[in-house]
Amino acid sequence: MNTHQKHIIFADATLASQTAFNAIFNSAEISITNCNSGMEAIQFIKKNEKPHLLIIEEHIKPLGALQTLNYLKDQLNYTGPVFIISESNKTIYSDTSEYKVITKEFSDADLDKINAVLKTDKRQISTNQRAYSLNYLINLSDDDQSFIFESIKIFNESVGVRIEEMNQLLKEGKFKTVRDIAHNIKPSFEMLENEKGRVVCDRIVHFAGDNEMKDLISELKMEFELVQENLKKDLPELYKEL
Amino acid sequence: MKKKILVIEDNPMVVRSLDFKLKKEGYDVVIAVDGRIAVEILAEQDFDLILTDLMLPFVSGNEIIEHIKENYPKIPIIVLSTSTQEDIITDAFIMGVDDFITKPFSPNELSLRVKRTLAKA
Repeated sequence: MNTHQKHIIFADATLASQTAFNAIFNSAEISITNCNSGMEAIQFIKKNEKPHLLIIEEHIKPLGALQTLNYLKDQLNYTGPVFIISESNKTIYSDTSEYKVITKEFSDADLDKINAVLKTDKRQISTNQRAYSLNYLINLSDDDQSFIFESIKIFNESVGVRIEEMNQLLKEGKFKTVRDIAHNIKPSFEMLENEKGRVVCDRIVHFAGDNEMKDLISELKMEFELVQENLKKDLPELYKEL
Repeated sequence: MKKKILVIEDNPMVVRSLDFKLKKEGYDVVIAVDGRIAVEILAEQDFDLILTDLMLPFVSGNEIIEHIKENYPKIPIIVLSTSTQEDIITDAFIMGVDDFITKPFSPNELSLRVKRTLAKA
């Protein structure tokens, strides 16, 4: 983190929520530390500088947001800005403090509140501009994080290799095998809800002439790299493990 | 006793998803990543259901279906297809497969189709 960056601690154990929030705010001017429990947030604040903003989910384990915040205030003297993520849209009160609330949807109103604290101007990125979405994997696994991480790892390891293989086979004039590979990797793009990857694969399989393949494979490679870049930016913890 | 399913599929993300979902539903799952391996596994183990892709390395999906129909006619087959394979799916039905699921599969649809096919068997 550089000295000009604003730092947010985002404490919410749900991967979907972390991914959505990171997609909006993670940037050159803002760094985000994702915490999967209140204890992780406490430990981080204990060992590091206090963040510019702490966002914490109301029912975060093990103590819930209010008790975690009480601990931070009483034991670590933390009095920085806080938002609680809650389904209710009302201010939440503890014995000694009141906390503003944001929703998991990160609506424009929520973003306005965060922007006001950080003095930034972040806006929701619409889904059709996103290179990927984890919604399919989240839905399939009931938000099983190890499964989702494993699937991303498989995507990274398998699709890039196959695109390289397509390039090699193209040089050898093996057009049918190139089409078979495009057919094979299409579901991988679909599982990350990447529309462009799906469309390019379909074009290679069904519509493209042999002389169009080279450009299409380059396009597919660029899209694969874009998905990887976005995933890396949104899920830095995962990439540390890879 | 747990029902045992053979999944014949070569896309590793689809394989992992099917393995995850089917095991979560309480099935025993065995994976074959190509047709040759599938033929070997079928010679050694019994299955209650087979889920197979149609475009596989070494032995095509249709050849696999023929092989199963000839040697293990009682095992029901669900074909895993992509949305643009209507002709191939029609051929597979003519060959006697029981059902098909489009990749990437809807988790609920997979669950229902597997249950239904096993119940009919």
